[in-house]
Amino acid sequence: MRRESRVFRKLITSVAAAGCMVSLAACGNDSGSGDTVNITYWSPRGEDSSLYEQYEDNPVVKYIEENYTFNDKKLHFEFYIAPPGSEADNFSNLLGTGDYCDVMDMSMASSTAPELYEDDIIWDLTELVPANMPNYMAFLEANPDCESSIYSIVDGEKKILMLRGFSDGIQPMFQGFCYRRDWIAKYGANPQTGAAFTYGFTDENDFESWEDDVVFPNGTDEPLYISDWEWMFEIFEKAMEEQGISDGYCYSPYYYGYMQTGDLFTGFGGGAPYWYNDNGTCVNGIETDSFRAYLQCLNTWYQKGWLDKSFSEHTSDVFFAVDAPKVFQGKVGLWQGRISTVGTQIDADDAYTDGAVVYGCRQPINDIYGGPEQQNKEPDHMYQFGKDGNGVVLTKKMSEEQVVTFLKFADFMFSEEGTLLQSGLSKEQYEASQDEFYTRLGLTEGMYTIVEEDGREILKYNVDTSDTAFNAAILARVQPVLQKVENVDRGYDRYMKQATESWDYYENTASLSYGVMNAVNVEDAQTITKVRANYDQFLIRTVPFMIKGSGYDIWDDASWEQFLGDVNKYQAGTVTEIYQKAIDLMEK
Amino acid sequence: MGIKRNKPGISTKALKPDKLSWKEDFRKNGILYLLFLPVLVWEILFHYLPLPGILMAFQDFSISKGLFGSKWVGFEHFVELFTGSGFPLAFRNTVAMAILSLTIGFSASIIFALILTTFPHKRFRRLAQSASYLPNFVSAVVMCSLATEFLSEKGAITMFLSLFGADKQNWLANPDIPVFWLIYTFIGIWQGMGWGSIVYVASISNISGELHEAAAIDGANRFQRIWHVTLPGILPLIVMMWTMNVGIVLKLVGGNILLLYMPQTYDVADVLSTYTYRMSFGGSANYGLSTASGLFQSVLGLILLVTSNKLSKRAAGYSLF
Amino acid sequence: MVESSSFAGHMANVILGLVLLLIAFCSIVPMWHVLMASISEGRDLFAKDGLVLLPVGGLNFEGYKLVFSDPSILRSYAVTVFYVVGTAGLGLLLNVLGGYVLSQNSRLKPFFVAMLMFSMMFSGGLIPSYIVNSRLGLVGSPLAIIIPGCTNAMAVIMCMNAFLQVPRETVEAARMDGAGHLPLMFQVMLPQGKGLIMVTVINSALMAWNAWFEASIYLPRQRKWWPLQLLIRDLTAKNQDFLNYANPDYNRYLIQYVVIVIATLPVLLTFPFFQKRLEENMVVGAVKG
Repeated sequence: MRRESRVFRKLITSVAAAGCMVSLAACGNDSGSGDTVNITYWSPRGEDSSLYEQYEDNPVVKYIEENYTFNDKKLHFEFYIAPPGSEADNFSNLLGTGDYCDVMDMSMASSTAPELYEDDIIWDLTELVPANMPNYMAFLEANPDCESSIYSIVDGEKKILMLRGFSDGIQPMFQGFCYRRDWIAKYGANPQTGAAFTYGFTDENDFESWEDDVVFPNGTDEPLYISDWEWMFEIFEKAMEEQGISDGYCYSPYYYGYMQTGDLFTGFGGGAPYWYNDNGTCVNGIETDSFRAYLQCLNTWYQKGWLDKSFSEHTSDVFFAVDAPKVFQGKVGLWQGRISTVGTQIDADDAYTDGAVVYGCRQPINDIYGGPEQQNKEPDHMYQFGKDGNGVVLTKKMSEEQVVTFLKFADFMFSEEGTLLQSGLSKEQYEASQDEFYTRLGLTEGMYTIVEEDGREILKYNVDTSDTAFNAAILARVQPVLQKVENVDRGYDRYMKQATESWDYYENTASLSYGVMNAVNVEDAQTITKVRANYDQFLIRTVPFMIKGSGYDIWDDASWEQFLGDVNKYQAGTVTEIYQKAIDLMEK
Repeated sequence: MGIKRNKPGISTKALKPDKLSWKEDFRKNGILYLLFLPVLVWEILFHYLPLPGILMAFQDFSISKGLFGSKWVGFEHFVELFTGSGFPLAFRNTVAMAILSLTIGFSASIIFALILTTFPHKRFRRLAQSASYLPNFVSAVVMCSLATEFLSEKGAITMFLSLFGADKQNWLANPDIPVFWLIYTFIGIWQGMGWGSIVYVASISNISGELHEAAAIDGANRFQRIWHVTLPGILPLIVMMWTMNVGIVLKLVGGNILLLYMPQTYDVADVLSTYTYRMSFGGSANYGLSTASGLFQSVLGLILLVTSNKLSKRAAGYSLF
Repeated sequence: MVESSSFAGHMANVILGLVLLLIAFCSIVPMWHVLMASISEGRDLFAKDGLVLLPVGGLNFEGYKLVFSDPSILRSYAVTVFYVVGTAGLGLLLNVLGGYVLSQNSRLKPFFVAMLMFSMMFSGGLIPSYIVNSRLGLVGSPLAIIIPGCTNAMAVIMCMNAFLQVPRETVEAARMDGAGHLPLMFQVMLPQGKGLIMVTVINSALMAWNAWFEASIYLPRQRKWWPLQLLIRDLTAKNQDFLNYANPDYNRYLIQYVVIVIATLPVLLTFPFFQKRLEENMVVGAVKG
């Protein structure tokens, strides 16, 4: 008994001690004094805590705070990074309870900027941005394709409610189609002459020295058409047979059978199995003949045994890692993979990966299935980063002085100097600041060197851009900034260069822009959610079976009509109309 | 007893304490109420003050307008929920899996506790018990991926079942009733049986040893002793745990399902929580709908709770309240 | 007769032993898988599907190195212990008080029980809870982890049950001796209902050990007050997309396994202590001799 009461006493003391600690509200609200302006900034993501714990320790942030003034004021940031797994909850909570920060990143937002504006939570920047941000405006003028995504529409009026970051070109994609080049070279034969290919590493010790004389049916050394893919699949089959791989396959589609981002589908006449913008007309890809041709293609592949026969069972895989273990076991011919599978990276010296050479390939163009409308059309809708970065809103917690100071800072980040600074500290900047993080990680040469190549100035990174420390050494979590991606040498090997060039060969021009999304009013947005709840379910439950040849018969016109009729029962048309209205508003 | 013992033949009323007037009650039990004050304050602060949040079920809740500024929509979300194309199947599946979890799942812990406590070798018993709670700490993702592996076409369990004439197949892709329901139940048992048995082990250990010895001297064997001594001893606890489980079972069903189901098994695997999840977070978050679904499950749970309380009073003579 | 019954008893023990062995085996498998995976070579593990019985591709402790390169992991153990002790302690206090009061007859008792049951079934949701905690000044304070989550209706009712199991005569005798409520509760009844009450303590301690969501909502910026589970979630989340980059470090794939091991180990080490307490007056079914 006595022992227990002693435990109690100890407990109560410790609890009371904890109670004495000062309680801090989520986003503090000290606007700063004298010549310093304080800004609280909410972001859904920070850096690995083994690098630094608070984002205030970011070298670029520190450098800017120490060396620059905006609006004659020094800037001091305080960052609120949402804990992982509850970013969206965190955002909602801060807004719902009034505990929000000065600047809120909108990439995890459950409310739209117009909603926040109507509730008087954020600043209307329509006039302040042009007045204070000459560099920003100049960038938009030079890049008219970016311009529409900075506007929101409130009551038919274009407003700037959000500040959006951009990059000066398409950010290189980290994923796309990959195929086993070594299988093609080894087991294939020239489609014109029937001669075997010559191939191999010219230098045993140089993994970049792979050479081959592979020619595809299209006459080039790259697979460009669906017919090239089918030619490859036959070779993959042979490769697997000869190596005795019994549980491999040629290709595995995402487990519903399609991806809303349009990958692979887009080669069947453009667009995506989702709503897209076809030169000012909103189209629902599911209802098009392209979708039918796409399903016919996949069904054919399934019948021929080229598809992973259990593609619809990989429920827990993320979309760009369909059944990743099989790929890494060397049992797959073509897959939607990440940059970490390209080149000789999957070679683990075991039975099926030994000597593996992986190339990236473009979205293929359909030249077999459907009618002329579905054939030989360039892809225009796929998973791609594009130029748009995340957006931030400025809340009414900020005074006008704070807003102007922040805008001046943001504008600086669109200047040449700011853009370079976003890419990390240069050698001179490091030497001047003696940044502790750079010293600790040995980045004493600075992040990059500017070199001349073919008369162009190239920003060449001195460090491994794939390391997690890379993002921590640049300014990766603060918006809006202009990110430099054109004329940048990321230190990729030749396979990675080949792959990223193939993946970014076609541009995603047909997807609904941020501008269109922001032109959808609050009520319509809810309608979309409601319609899609049932509509998506219907598709997920039907499409895999159509590919496997059960359910609606995609080869039969009457059955296809019936499918289209059922799609309409779920009121997909309402969503098409809403987006059309938004597109019209934006184009006005 | 708060777990009231309702002996057959004796009217319930006779057992109830003489009703005191409120004034007398307060004089007699005032200190008692004072002692309850901390619990009461805690309950009110952290459970009852946030309770108006339930009203979101009747609103088009907007995060920035808040609970009292959002638009009222009456029972619209409930209509939407009940008329959704997947609702009937999701409801059926929820009920089916709830029943399995309340029967097979619930009794597994008790049986395991009985086995543990009747097993004579102390050291081995402790080891077995310590081992049994391990799965409770392994994340659901790992458990489900192992289950997926074991149940795949070449998995260990599939091989074992094929010895009894079952087809070799990916069991998780089998859309026949009740394959998925059973799989789900057994994964639940695998994960929770050991940990769930702790409470019974504790309660069994509270039964006085004299009772057992007396029974043993009377010549009762182990199973008779379990039947006549142990089980009656922990019956109040079983009734309490069961009643409370009935109340929350609808909400518990569905935890791992997102990791286990696939389009071809949606018809048997979809439950209210997964259904609502997909319904309400397709685009912008629909707080109204998810709150409505939660409220529906709560009300249903409350009805079940009251019913099962009545039933256990009649059948076992014990009730929770 | 004695012979046959002891033989039957023996056989029964063998069968029960086999059943226990099977259960123990099934229970150890997942943890063993995690443990072995955590010391495998990342690249080989990544290409392996199925159960890992031995380290794949040779022993490799790089995963552990990666995890412990974050200095906050060690600190978070201490923080978590603070939460566990605080939660379990405060919870115990409330449970015992509540359970005792509910075990006594009074006119308000049915109301109290109904109130507890109701709160178990219905909850207002995250946002209203946040607002309440914010008004109470708990947001940003470690107390937000301890106070709101220290107990629940089920635990209070379980304690009530524990008190009810105490024989009436004992209680009446103590009352005759003039014991008030507090001595009665702590000195007479508590020791007798120890088993069940211990279970509530174990449960709330475990819940506090596993909790991360509350901290993520109420302590987003107070990183040094993050419990282990939140920190390892953070770590896992930030290492999940390692394959999106060229030349991936496959040891990052091990992190998800390492964190399970390091989060379970302390529980594994402390459980036998509780187990002993639980078994103190356990009766073994087999009769001696």
